[in-house]
Amino acid sequence: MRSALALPRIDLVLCTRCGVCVSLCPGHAVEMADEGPHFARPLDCTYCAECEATCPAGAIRCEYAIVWAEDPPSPGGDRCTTS
Amino acid sequence: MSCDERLLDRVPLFAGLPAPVRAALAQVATERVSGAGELILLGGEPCEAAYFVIEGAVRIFRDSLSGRQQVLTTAVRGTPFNLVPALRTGGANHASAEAVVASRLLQISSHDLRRLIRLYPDLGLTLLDDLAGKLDHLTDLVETISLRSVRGRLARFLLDNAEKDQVPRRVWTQDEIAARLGTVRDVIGRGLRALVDAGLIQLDRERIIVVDREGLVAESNL
Ligand code: SF4
Ligand code: SF4
Repeated sequence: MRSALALPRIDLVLCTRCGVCVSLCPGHAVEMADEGPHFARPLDCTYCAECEATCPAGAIRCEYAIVWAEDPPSPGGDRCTTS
Repeated sequence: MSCDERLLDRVPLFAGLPAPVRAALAQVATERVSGAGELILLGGEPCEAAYFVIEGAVRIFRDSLSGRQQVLTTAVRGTPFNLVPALRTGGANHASAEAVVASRLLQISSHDLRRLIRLYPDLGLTLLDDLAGKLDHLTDLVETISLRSVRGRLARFLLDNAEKDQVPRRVWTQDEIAARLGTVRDVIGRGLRALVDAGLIQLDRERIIVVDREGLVAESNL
C-alpha cells in the first residue's frame, strides 16, 4: 500500500541544523529537535518544496516518481521521511 | 585588511594555488560576517569586490520588471559570487546577494584581485579555468534552450521517463529535472503547473502522473 502522506526526505548527515527549513516552511510543518529537523505537523506539509529550494546544505529532497495514469499505486509501503 | 590564510582552504578555487599566491590573497582578503537576511550587494551597482562563501549560504537574485524576485542560485560554502564583474574594469554587479542564514564571507576588492592576477599568473589561470568551465556550461545551455521551449522539453522528458510497474522507482526532484533540461527549478515548477492546467498531467504529491500521453506528445513537438 502506498503511504498516505509522502513527506520530503531530510538527510540528517548533510543537514547542518541551520534551521532555514523550520523558519521558511509556509505550513510550519517542520520543527527542530536535538537530532535535527523533523516533521512535527506532517499534515501541514503541502509538499511545496520550499524547504528543498532553500536548504543551504542540499539536505532536503521532495521527490517525484513519473508514472502513467493507468499505473497501479507503487508498492513499497511507507516512504521514510528522514534518513 | 587581511585574513587568516587557513580560511582560503575553504575555497576550492584557492586550494591548489602556490603558497606565495595564497599568502598574497590572505593579505588582501577581508573576512565579513553577514546576518540572516542581510543584503550584501545590490545588482546594477558598481562592482567593488568578489566574495567567497566560507560558511552559510547566500542567495543570488535579480528583481524582474514585474517586481518578482528571480533566484539565480544559492552560493554555499566554498563558492564565489560576484566574481565575473570583479574581473572587469568598471564592471557592475550582475545580481543582488543576500545572506540566507548567518554567513561568513571572504571579500576581495576588484582592484586587489586584478592587481594580484597581474602579479601571479597561477591565480589568473585558476580563475580562467573556472570561468571557462562556466562558459562551457552556458554554451551547452543556450544550445539546448534554443532547440526547444522548456515546456516542450519537459513534456518530452516526462514521456521518456514515465515508468510502469518499476520497482524501485526512479524518483526525481525538480532540481534534477531542471539540471537535465538545462534550466532552473523555478522554471520546472511553472512548467509542471502549466501542464497540470492543460490537463496533460496530474501532480499527486510524490507522483507526476501522465494522464494525456497524446497531449504530451503534441506538446513535446511544439
Ligand atoms: S535547511 Fe537544510 S541544513 Fe538547515 S536545518 Fe533544514 S535540513 Fe538542515
Ligand atoms: S514541502 Fe513545503 S510545506 Fe512541506 S516541509 Fe517543505 S516547505 Fe514545509
